[in-house]
Amino acid sequence: MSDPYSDIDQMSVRTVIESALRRLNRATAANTLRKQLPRSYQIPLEELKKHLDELVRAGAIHKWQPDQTIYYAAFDPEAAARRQMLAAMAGRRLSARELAVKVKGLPGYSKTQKYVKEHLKPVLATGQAFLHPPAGREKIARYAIEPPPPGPYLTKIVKEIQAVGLKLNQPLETVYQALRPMLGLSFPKPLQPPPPETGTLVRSHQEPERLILAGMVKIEPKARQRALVSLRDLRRSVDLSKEQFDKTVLDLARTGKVVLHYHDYPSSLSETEREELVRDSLGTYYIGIVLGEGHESS
Amino acid sequence: MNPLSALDNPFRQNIVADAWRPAEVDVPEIHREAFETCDRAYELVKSGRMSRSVFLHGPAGSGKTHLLGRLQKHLTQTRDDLLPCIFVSVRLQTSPRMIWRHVRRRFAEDLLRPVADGATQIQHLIAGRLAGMDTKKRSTSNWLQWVRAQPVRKTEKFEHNLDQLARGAGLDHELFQVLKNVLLDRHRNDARNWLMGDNLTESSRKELGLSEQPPGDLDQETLAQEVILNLCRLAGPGRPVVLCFDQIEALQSHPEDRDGLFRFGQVGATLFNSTDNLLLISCIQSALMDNLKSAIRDADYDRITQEAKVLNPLTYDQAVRLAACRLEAEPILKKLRAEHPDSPTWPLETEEIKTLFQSRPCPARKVIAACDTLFEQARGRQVPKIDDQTFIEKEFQRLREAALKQTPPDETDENLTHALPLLAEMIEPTLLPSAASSGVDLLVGRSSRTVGLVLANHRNMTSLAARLRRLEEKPPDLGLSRLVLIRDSRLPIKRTAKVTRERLAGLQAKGLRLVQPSIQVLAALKALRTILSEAKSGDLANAGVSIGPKTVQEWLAANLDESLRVFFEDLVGSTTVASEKDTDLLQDIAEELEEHFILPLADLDRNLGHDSLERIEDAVRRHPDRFGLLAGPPSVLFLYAPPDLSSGD
Repeated sequence: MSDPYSDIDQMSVRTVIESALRRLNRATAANTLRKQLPRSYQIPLEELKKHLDELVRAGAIHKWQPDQTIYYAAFDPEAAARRQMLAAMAGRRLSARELAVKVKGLPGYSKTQKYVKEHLKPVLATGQAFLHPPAGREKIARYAIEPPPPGPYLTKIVKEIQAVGLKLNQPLETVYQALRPMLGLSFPKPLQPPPPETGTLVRSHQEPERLILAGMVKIEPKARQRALVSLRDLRRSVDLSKEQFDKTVLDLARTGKVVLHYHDYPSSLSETEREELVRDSLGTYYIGIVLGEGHESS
Repeated sequence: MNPLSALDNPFRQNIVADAWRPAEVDVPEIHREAFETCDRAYELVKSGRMSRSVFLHGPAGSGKTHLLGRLQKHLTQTRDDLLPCIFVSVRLQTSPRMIWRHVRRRFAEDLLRPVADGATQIQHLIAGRLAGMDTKKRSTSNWLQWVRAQPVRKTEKFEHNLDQLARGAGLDHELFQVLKNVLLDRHRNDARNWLMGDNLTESSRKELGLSEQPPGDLDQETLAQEVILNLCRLAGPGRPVVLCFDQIEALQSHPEDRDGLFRFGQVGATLFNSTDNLLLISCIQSALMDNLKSAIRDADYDRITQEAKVLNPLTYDQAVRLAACRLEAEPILKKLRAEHPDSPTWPLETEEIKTLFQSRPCPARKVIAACDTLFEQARGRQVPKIDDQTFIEKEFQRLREAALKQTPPDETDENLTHALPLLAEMIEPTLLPSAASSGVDLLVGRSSRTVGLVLANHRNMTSLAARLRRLEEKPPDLGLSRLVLIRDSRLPIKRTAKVTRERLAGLQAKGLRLVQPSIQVLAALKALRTILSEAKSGDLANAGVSIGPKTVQEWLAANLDESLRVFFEDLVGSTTVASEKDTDLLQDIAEELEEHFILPLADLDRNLGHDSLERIEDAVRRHPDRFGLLAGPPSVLFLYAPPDLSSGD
């Protein structure tokens, strides 16, 4: 008797397998998969496995083997697990065990935490999620999309610092002042209120200038020491129309109160990105602004 | 005759490529503020025993590298035989995945670099540390003489002192052993190569007094990080290590790439947190400021930008001053200029310089390039203008020729890791994220086919055998359509490495493909990544005007080196290469020719113990990029070297 499956085109078998796996949307063992195929495509298990291996080799489907059983999936198990874990972490801090349970469609995933740790490595390395080491009474590490807030890790140190204040009979402010340079932090100058106007009314064009100069220091305290400030960030922080903002920035540059840094390859930016920069009449796009020499205290 | 005709054009140099080769003429007023900030931070590190950081922004061509050169010159001046700091300059032309290894290589190169008095930085460092430990209070100068003495004059006492020093600084055993070799001038090349992070052969390791196999299966990035931190610790308190990062932009494989900048932030923060004698100076183009801020963690950003300074475009007055200083530096020109006291930039028209400032702010490089043209015009010559396409073509050729001479096999891993994603992006932008944890170094995808690339450029056969064993025991389970092992064709697997050969043959039988890129391919890859890195960093300039990476990428895509296209197709293409049946024979031929360079065919056949001259001849003819054959009689084989390699000494 001739093989009833011999007339089935090999390619169409594979297409049917791929389609079934996509429909199932979970990692599936070969014998389970066989039952899900249309009757005329329910080829012997060994033959099905050969096709599955061939599809894996071609990169069309993926293999998942948490234990003895081999499962097959239309999706990349590692990427899928990572995606689900990131979604689960939205607004929550979860332990490896809790994360393992959140991963669906991959049999055996929740039995061990080893996959969670392995799959999270690139996510942690690229800053898409963060490890929260145990703090206070917590005994286990957790993972979250937000970086760990330092507060809970500083409780002990805060007590020690308070004790130093008490011991030296000094206000905490003094201890704090001494601590900052020891930690390598500089003191940002407090933002000065605008200078009182003498006599006459403020001329209208001075207001946007003042807003921009004060805005620079507000978003970048080191601007007073002539650090570069992003015009994109500055625009977002100052309540001025685009026309008014651009005009004021260019006026400030013309009078030497600020220096502008241009973008070398604006064509590499999208139209939206270019819109956020400042463009002069000659078509130069500016990306950064810095206080001019002698105007540091503006 | 025009009196200027015989003079060198003082504006010819408009790019400072390296902090160790600063511009001959420097105008200290320009970027004085940024320089003083760096100097102040340096003093704080020195006196405060804590690490500091300075971040420098500026447009392309504003003089960031020039400023680093000024700083290098200022800080590495010896005073009373004492080198006050260790200066290291790193251009980040590498893959983000190899950033620590790249820094280690540059760190080692600079440590072994002689400073003004001819002694290397490492000799100064050791002399200073020994003087600090000396109970008899002999000066650093005395110790430096001892350190620099010929090996025969060094005594057991010297080794004893080094032992004490290593213990005091808590040095890693291997690093200490290697430094001892460096200082005693023993096995100089091997010691240097170890410091740079190269994979050494068993015999080289033995010569250095190390175990034949590198310890454990350590992650190379972690290992490199440890060596760097050890070296910073060795410099000790009171002697700052000034570490400058330049061309950070080159870490991005494309404009939206955040990974490179993120990793840079991590590296900077780790260095800052783990040391107490480091001055970290980072330079970046103003245009990248927004990307950098959004790509790296706030905590990392704070650590690497304790001080932030800008290098502004020049003012008109600064441009005139710059032009005048360059002109004055030429003695004959200085004499001629004395006859024109009313013109500050004679023989250049000052008004012409003024026109540069009519359109937009003008960085130093553009001023110098314009003066270059004006000077040529002043002596009656025209400077031919070349378009950007021709400029890129010439530059690519130059870089490729330089790479043919200077691309050792030890750099192959870095070369491939950095260049392959760029090449893939150009040919087919389908490169998937790396999967280093799964035993594969890179993944390259083409529609539904994903190819896993394994880099296996080990010199140490035991290490290579171990890597192959891991592949055998735990093949990468990534649903790959193919696994490709890349090994530099200049690294034959020797006949004595039987286990390695057996494992390789076993893996090949299971479908692994071995690809052995020739020096021509590797040189083209190096040229490709260098020119793109230069463009991203704003350092590829035609007549003072930077050429953007997009233009370079388009030119490269349109004029892609044929050898690169073939190589890429070899990696990801669906065709099967037939030459793999002769892998062992090719390795044998390469091994023999590496040793003898040139051999009669009959002699080679005898040495190999084969009985088929035809097979050898056939294998050689199929690899003209690796071997040459002179028909004879007698037929002679030689190791092929590209023309530019063989034209040297």
